[in-house]
Amino acid sequence: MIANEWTVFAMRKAAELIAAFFALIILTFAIVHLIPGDAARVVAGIDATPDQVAQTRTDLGLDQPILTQFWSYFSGVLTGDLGDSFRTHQPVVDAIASRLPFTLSIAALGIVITLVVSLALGLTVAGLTRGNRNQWLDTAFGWSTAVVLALPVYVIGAILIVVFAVSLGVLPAAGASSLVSYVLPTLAIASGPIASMSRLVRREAAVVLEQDYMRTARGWRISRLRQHVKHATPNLLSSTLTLSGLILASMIGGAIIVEAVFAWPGLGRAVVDSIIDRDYPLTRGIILTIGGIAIVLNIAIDIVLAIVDPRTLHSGKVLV
Amino acid sequence: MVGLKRFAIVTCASVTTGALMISGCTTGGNAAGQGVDTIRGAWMEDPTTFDPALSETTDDYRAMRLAYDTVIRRDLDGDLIPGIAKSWEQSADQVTLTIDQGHVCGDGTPITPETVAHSLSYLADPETESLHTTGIFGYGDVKVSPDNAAGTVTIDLSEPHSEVLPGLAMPQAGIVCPAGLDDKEALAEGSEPGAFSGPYALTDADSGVRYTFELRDDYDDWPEYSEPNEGTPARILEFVVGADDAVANQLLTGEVDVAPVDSEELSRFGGEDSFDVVTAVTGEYYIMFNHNEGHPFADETARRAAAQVIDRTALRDVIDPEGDVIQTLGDENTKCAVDDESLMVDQDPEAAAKVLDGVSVRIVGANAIGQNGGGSIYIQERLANAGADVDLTNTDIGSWVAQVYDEPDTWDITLYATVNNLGTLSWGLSTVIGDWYSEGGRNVTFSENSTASEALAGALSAGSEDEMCDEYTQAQEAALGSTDFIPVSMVTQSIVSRGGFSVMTPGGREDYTTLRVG
Amino acid sequence: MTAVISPVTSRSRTVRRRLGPMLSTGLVLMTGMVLLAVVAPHFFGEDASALTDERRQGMSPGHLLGTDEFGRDLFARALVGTRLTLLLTSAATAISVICGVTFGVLVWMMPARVRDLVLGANSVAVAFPGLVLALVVAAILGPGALSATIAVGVAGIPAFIRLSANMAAPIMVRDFVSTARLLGVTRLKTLIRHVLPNLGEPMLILSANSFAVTLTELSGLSFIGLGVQNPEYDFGRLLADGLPNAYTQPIQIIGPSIMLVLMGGAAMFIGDGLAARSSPRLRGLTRARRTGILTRDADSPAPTASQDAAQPASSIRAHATSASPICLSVRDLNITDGSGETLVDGVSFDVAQGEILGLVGESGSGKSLTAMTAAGLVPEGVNASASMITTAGHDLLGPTSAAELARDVSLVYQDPMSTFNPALRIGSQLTEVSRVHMGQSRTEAQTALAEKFRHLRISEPDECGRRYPHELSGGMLQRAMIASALLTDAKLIIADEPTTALDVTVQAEVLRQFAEASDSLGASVLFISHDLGVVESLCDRVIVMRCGEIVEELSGDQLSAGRAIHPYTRSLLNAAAYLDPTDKMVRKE
Repeated sequence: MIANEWTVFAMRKAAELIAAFFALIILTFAIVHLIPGDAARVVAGIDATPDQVAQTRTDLGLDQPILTQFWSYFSGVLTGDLGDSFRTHQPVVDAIASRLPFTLSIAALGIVITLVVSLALGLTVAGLTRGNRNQWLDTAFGWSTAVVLALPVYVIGAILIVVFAVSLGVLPAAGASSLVSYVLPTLAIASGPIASMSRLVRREAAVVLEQDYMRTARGWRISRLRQHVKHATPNLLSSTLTLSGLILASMIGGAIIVEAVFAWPGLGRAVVDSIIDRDYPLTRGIILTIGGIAIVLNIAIDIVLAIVDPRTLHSGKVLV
Repeated sequence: MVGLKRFAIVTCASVTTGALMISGCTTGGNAAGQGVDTIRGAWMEDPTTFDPALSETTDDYRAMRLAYDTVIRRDLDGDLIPGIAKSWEQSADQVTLTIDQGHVCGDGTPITPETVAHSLSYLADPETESLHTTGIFGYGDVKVSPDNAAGTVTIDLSEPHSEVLPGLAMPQAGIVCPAGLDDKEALAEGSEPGAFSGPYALTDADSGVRYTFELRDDYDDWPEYSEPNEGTPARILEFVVGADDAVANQLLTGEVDVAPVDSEELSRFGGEDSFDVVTAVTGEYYIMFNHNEGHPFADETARRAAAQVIDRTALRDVIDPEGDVIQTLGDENTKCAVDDESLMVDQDPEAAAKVLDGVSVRIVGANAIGQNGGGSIYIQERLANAGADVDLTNTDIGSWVAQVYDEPDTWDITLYATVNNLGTLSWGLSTVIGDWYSEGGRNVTFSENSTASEALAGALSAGSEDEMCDEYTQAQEAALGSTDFIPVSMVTQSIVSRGGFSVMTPGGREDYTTLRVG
Repeated sequence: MTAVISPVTSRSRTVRRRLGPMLSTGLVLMTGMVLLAVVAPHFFGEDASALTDERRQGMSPGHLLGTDEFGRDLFARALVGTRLTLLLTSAATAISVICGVTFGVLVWMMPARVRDLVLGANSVAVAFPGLVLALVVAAILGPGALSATIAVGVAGIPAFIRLSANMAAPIMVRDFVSTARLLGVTRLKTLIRHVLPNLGEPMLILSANSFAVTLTELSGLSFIGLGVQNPEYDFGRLLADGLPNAYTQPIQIIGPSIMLVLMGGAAMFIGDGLAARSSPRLRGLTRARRTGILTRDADSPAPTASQDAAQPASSIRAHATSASPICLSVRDLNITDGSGETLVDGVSFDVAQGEILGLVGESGSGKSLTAMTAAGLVPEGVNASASMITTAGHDLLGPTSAAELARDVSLVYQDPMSTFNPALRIGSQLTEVSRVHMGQSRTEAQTALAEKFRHLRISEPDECGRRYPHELSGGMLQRAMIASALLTDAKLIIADEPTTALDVTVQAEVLRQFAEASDSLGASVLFISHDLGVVESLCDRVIVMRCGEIVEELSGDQLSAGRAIHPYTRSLLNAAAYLDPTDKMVRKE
């Protein structure tokens, strides 16, 4: 029976994976055709003669029937060929490969910091404000997280730069030249997620801490740290994991802005550049990559959730 | 925002025949002083190619200058000085270059008249589809022939063109060695060191991250400027990509040694002795009108009225406080530029209001011109003040250029900017007078000023400098006389270097080969 | 915890109470924003747009937040920008909500397979970075306020589809919907009539949160140049325009930052406030007094433990087994709730070593509070004071050793299903005390536990510890809990209705093991129950509590003989008579 459940689950996830990827491929293909302006004209340059533009159009395959274009795009994606950048004529795959690690590294560091900090923060605040104690803390927590959430990440980034790079001079202001360069971008990218995740954890933890099993744990007179880490945290994982999928996605979105603030050589900045440069192959290559990562992560989190909390095996998603 | 500004500017350069660039150059070294052999700088974007003929963006030009020498260079004041060619002769339809012996390619091959001729033929060949062919050689057929015995290269033009020499001094006219011409793909990638004729060879290209150049051991052909360039060339040049928003901070924290900085941020370096600022000129700002029928500024009185309310000095203060206000599309370093205040329209808001009241005007603007698109906002405010019914669209440079060039029905007036690598009057003038863009020329304003247009053509085919300047003067006076455009100011770029590093701006232009340590 | 409304008559205070502090703060802020959006352009429009020569000025009485590069007043601009910001953010949120809910509900009109696929793909869309999606839309439509609004609005749709589809799911399978279908009501009508009204509250909460997210995303688009374009401006535009000057004229970013925080904060507070109202677990947590404290009675001097043990309160002295030392001694225990109402009033009692004392009463009689306080675990929401509490030799009114107390006092609770942590294995939980306080290694502790399991004849004693609570029955869990008391050689077991949640047949077995366990340990037991039948069969002595006071004390024999005097006890006895009295054989010899 159990094996059967997992088979059904795996098949459903596989179907979702395929459907989502197919939708993503259609979406990224359509981008190029919906964006206003003549791609061939832009690539050939304003000085180009009509003949040169026509030649460029042929070179880019834009004069082919749309289905032919789609098929060549689709088969290209399947074989890992995303075409060449209009701008640098470099294979898109190479351009993505050189930037992807930078985005993934701050996103991954960001999510780890987010999980650790917000679990600690949310639990601590929930613990300290149990039974209406320390109401000032409750208020301070509510306001400070609201401020962090409401402030755009570029303002937070600027504040971090002013404080830690320009005034104190302890951390680099921008770039990815050394390991310490990761600190500020990671902090900036994690700031919003930490605020929203710790609010969630605090809310969930307030409920968990009132559960009978936490009273049991208190009855064993173990330290508050142990109560929280060993007994409360596992019961918060399901909801935090579910949210962390969304947060990772928002981090990749946040990377677009954080990378601009910190001159970080990642995909986020590249996608903005490519849109403004009308470098369509690069734009859709990056959107495809980011979307693909989002899909895979999403499914991976579903699987982890199903292992952690087997009830989700049947129901699919936990509501956030 | 700021980020966009930089990205946008690059696109502009790639898409137009001219555009502005604001960011710049670089130098570096960590601690400054002795023992430093690396200069760290900042670029806006990845270079699109390492083939000079195909280069099209600001960062391309920066890279070309490092990797390829040109036959002619510019001195600090803009005069032409020897490069690979030690001397030259020019007539209306012929240029003869005498090649200096002893220059060598990256792979050790000597640079001969034949090498130069091959490279220039490739640049001139229509098959190459270089954006720069017509700017350098004009619109006729080009024949480049070497004479190894005499040590000369002769360029014959079927149509006279007077700007070949300044054209050959541009980085996009860099000489490509045989190894590069034999393998165009490797040339474009920059992966063939034998292709390089300049002081630096690309050693590492990490797309979107960093470009590293290394000084060639055998290179000793630095141009001789009128003032010596003090200091030592760096062994390594390292350019991070996309740092434009952050460079001011990075200069202050010592992460970058030399970089272009926005004029608004210059005050951050003002009080510090440990920073040097040099200002390079990159082009001209001017106001373009759409002269096409049915557009309000087809009428000369309307154009005059606009000039009567737009205070060029105030506009300059908004868009580029470091730039000089200009009376034509060039400054005192530009050959044949007129500097006649009387050709300018005096301020007269009341007279203007009589003409402009109730007129509906559509401005298209680039949000990269002036902080946050301030230039267009200023124009909007002035025209609206005169009673015009103004509609302003401020967009990124790509959209703006596309609209100006390809959707002429949708705009009446725009604030334009060029990247004038050529450093000549024709670069800007031909966008507002002469043959229409829609008919194969460069003029996007649909102006019909036959006097000015003929004089411009005459200047470009002049056989002597005097003749050229006569024609240019006539063209400028005719165009300014009917307010075909409004010159505003030079486009500048301020390059900040940390103590211990320096850079020069030959001819007012940025040039990385002048980066020095010490 | 009863919410106590203080008799403040001010209407606003009352509203505030009813809405909760978060919701009312949020609503007040948001109302202010709306008012500002309406009036600010009228009063400040001129200052906000007029170009002056006072460029890039700092703070001054004339320009509270300085001026920008055109000499425009930044304070005025921050206020005037409220209108466009509010309009765009509301519009984008409306797009997300309306499209999302419509689609999320309509998805139930589709065949099940299609629906699964659509919702599966949608769940991926939810996780797709909103800003990237917005970027794509903005790039397709060209930069500008309209396209940014549509972009951010569209990017927010999947979240609402998921929420409304999820919310609709239980409703669509609920009985009254089936009934409605039988009555020939179409699916669409059902959706509109039954599903939509139920969406209200969660949808409001999500909308408020979505509003806050939309606000920052719109400003993010402005930052990268694809949002609102000059000369129009919202907070994001103002902020993005000011940011390049952040180092030279930092005041430029202060106005729009504060406005963004206020508006975003307002939306978040409204969302959180609504969520708090809809969640009963969080409701009522509004009283601001610290609880869960145990204090020594101010008017009674601190007696020494030995004195007290030697001189138990006179009322119960006669019944205490005089030869045995006292294991638990409570004097003058008072417990009050957060508002000061008395829940337990001056309770005193002793439990002798090896004695099983029953504490009986209806729910609300204060018996559980008394027992938990005696264990040193004053629950949240109440405060306790006493002149003495000595538990297994520890004076709880003074500093105690957590380790010794944990070892000496073992607790068994009412509902085994909720007292065990569902996320942890049984063994890992039950060995906490022996590992944390007795220094045993994990293996030692597990082995010892298995030994005790075997002792209590629990089946598969070696496997049991590796199970999760949901894999075991309630009776098994309670027996496992008793085993943990054996593990630490507890001197006192406090059992709070340990059999109430169990099946009657299981009760007997659990009670038997209780008796055996306390016997073998020689431990005292404080046994709380509302069931006199159970107590009678197990206990040496019984205390009856009512409304926070002890009303009667009986020996086990007195109780079985029906010699209760107090009418309350009698009524309890009568009630118990209808139940099947637990087999006498479990009674301790």
